[in-house]
Amino acid sequence: MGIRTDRSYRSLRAITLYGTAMLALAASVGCSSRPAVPFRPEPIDYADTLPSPQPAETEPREVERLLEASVGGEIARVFSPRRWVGAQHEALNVTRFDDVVNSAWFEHRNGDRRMSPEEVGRGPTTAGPDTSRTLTVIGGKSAGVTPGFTVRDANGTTFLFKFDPKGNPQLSSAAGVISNRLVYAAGYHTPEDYIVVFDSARLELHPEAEIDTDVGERPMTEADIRVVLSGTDALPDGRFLALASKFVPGTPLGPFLFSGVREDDPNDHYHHEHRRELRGLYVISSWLNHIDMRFANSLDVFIDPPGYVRHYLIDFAATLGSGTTRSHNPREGLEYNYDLWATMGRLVTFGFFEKGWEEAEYEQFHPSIGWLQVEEFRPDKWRGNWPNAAFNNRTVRDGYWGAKLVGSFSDEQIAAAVAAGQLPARAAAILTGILATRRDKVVEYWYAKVTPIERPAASLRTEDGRPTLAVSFDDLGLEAGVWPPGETRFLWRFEDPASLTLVRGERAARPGRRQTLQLELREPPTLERRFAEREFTTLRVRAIRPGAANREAIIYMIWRGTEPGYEVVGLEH
Amino acid sequence: MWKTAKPSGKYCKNRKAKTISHPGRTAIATLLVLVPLVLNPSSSHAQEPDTGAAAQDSAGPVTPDSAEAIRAGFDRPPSKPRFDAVDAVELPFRIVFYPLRLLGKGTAKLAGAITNISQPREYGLFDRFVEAGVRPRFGSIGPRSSIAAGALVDRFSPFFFESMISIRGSQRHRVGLDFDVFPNRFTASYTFQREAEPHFWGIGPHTRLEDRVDYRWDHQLAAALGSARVSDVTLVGGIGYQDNRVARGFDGARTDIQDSQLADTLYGVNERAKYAVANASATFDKTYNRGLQRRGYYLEVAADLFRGVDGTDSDFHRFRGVVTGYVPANPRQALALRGIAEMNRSDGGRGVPFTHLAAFGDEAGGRAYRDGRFRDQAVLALMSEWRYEVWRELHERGRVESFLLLDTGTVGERFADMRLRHLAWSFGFGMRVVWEGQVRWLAYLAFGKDGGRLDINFSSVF
Repeated sequence: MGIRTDRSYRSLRAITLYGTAMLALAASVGCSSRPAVPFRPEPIDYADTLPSPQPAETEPREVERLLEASVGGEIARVFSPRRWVGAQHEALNVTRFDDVVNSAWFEHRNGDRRMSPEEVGRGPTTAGPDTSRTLTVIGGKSAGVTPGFTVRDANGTTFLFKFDPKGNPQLSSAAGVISNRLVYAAGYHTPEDYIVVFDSARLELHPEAEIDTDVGERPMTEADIRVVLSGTDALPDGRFLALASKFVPGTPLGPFLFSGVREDDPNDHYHHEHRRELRGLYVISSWLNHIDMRFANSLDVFIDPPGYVRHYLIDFAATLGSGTTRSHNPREGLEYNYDLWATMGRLVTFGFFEKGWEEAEYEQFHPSIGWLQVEEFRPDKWRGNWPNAAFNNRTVRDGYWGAKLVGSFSDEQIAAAVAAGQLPARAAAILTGILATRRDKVVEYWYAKVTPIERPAASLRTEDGRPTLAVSFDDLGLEAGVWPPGETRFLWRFEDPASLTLVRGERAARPGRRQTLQLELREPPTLERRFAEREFTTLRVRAIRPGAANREAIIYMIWRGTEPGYEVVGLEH
Repeated sequence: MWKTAKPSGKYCKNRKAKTISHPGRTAIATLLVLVPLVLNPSSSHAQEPDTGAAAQDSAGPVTPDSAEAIRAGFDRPPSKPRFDAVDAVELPFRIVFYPLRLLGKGTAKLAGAITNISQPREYGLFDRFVEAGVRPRFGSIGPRSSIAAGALVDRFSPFFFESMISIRGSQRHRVGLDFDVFPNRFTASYTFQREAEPHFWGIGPHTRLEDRVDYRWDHQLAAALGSARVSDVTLVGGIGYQDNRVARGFDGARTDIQDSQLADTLYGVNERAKYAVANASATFDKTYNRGLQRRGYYLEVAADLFRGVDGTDSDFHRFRGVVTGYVPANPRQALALRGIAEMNRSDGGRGVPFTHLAAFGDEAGGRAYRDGRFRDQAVLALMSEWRYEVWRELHERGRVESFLLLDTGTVGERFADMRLRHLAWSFGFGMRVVWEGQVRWLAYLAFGKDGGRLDINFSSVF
């Protein structure tokens, strides 16, 4: 018995020692190692739009995927030492300036080039359905959450018509169009969504139209159209308002998943859960309260010619205050639909475990807006209805990247997107205010997690034989007005191993977004050893401000010789 | 406040940076990639560099085959993170949790496959049956029936016909007329029900588990029943003719009641009992659903009169009262209580047949005990549950509740004979799925002096 006890003790001690050592190792690796940004391979613009054979259409089983993500995925996520020590993998497809390149997934739009409010309001749209002539119903859907039908207008263009729930006019249609405009302006591919008003007398049933019901497909009848229309409120003049979503050009291949790759698409290089655009999409989803951001609301389309897969985000009806058929409730945005840990928590505490939504009182802001969190909105606590591998893999840098996109929208741009929803004036004003408030909260949270500097530049000049390096950058925190200049100081450390230079300093921020740090160097750097050793110079900058527990930003530079001096070659947040 | 105007120089600098470590190569690759964009003007966007024409001139059209070579030449970040020290640390965890993950994956795959099957693509035979008024029925038929399945035909209402049979051989067949004029109803029907394998442990609160015997009970009932509802009160009255016959159980390996010492003393074992039956009951229903929660209270009193006919020397009557209350603590937690009192009394002849005695066990009181585990002329039972929500469906159509249960009660010849020491306690834990106001599935594990008992049901206990 005694021997067994000794063995047990030794085994326990060995396991404990191993665990402690490994965790310490993981922590040290996680905390200390940062890749040498200037020497990292760079993603390539539009590399995933090379011609390729057409991949097969996929139809992932929703229940299987959601169950796997909700149970298996959550267990793996929570019992992960990598997460415990904060050593999550950074996104892989980032450039040396901590951004992404244009691709079949994402194109820089408002985050890169300020779009006009008109451009934001227009979004991806070209021409909506022609409602002045016959609208031929070629299919219907009575199954699922939102009934609707597929319509071909007199120009031969196909649209999916979806309707608002009774009692909530324009709830889902306006939300769908507004979020469509904002997500498109952020840089993602979205279909053309329109608000359309039509006379039901113009609807004509195609003889071969079929309707998808809860018990299968069958020929569609005039009665089916009436049933769909009876589920929504007609306008005072008897016409109907709907969201018309134009079928995207190309061959649909089914949804994309937020993890793994499409095996038969040679262009699909980066595993989706490690893509910056998809990880950062968490922040945009939180801003727009897009609780239904899951694979079923995505679509891969084969664009031929030239033959590549473009990745779309579709169906934004369950965003903002809209739960598609009703207003959102306080639970949505705080808990997954199948939330393993919340469920377990309630189970073992006999129902006393709470997440904060349980006692929340809520009242719709307006029947056309529904309800969503405003003052109580916490960008870090927001959750969609479904676990999302890319969202769960997000790091602070991914979050900051997404927040930059959100922060790129001005009040005028938001108002223009809201105007596209054609809401009543009062509702539009309320929703614009809500989106602006949520944007501010997103920006405040994520900008406080990093030192939010962008567009660094360096210039070297010599006065009285003493070289001075001026490094300037934009501070997005100051630009957004999150912190006043008087409450911001910059701590910096300049290291040039080749010239054995180490300079530290501190400086208060000045008014304006552009900030410049003056670094007085002892002597001009030399070119000796530099390229042979693959050495580079770093300037580490940390913004010190109230309420911000941020990490430093690293500006990477290479000495190019006296002219032009230091060149900035990378930035990491 | 939000004046973000970003200079375009950022991406120019970015491109310069590429040339530091891989001079020339990346730039060439970029140019080659741009070629398809020229071939597909519709995919061009304002942000794309306008260098495509030059690339096309120098590189020519790119085909899927040549694109493969281009892709092979890319020097870009890896497709997924490389194995590192943290992965080494994680490895034991992954190994430990691998079976769990495998189980999760397997369950998910199974659920996916099942739900895929359950989504019909077109109208099938099943749908045609439903449309023809043949409705499938699933449930149970009396105690120990196991799962029963059958069909209800009500296409030619008010005529109906229902037939069900269970795995253990229990059966129920009903035919009749049902005039359902809400809120009133009149039904005239004939029912044949066979309970294939009920158990019997004797009479009184002290019977032993190991003294169990089996029997089969066939009973037929021809009855006319009318109900009327006035506000929250529903009154029901009916008359009928009942024929009861007890035979040997189907399971030949078990002791039948006919072979036990009880056979000679229990009325109903060897006798065929036929009765003219009259019934009257009143319910006062103040229950309601608020959101997904049941609230309010429910009272029921019932009286049955049995008079022996066709040579049956037995008359008796029965009184039964049930009170149920749902006391919410908040919209997610509630205390549910039910009290049951039942008394059977002989009015002459050989009294109450053993098949008609009051029973305690399972849903009629102590859930740690089998159905009919304790029987006598009177029963008192108190059932309680602490119900709490563990999961709520996205559109709030239903939820999963868990509950802690505590039941107690006993049987006796009269209420006055019952003693606290006779109480049989049950405690346990369960889960229930409530969908659109109805309990669709329920399971609980309860413990008592007979040991543990797991029960799965498709309707609410209370």
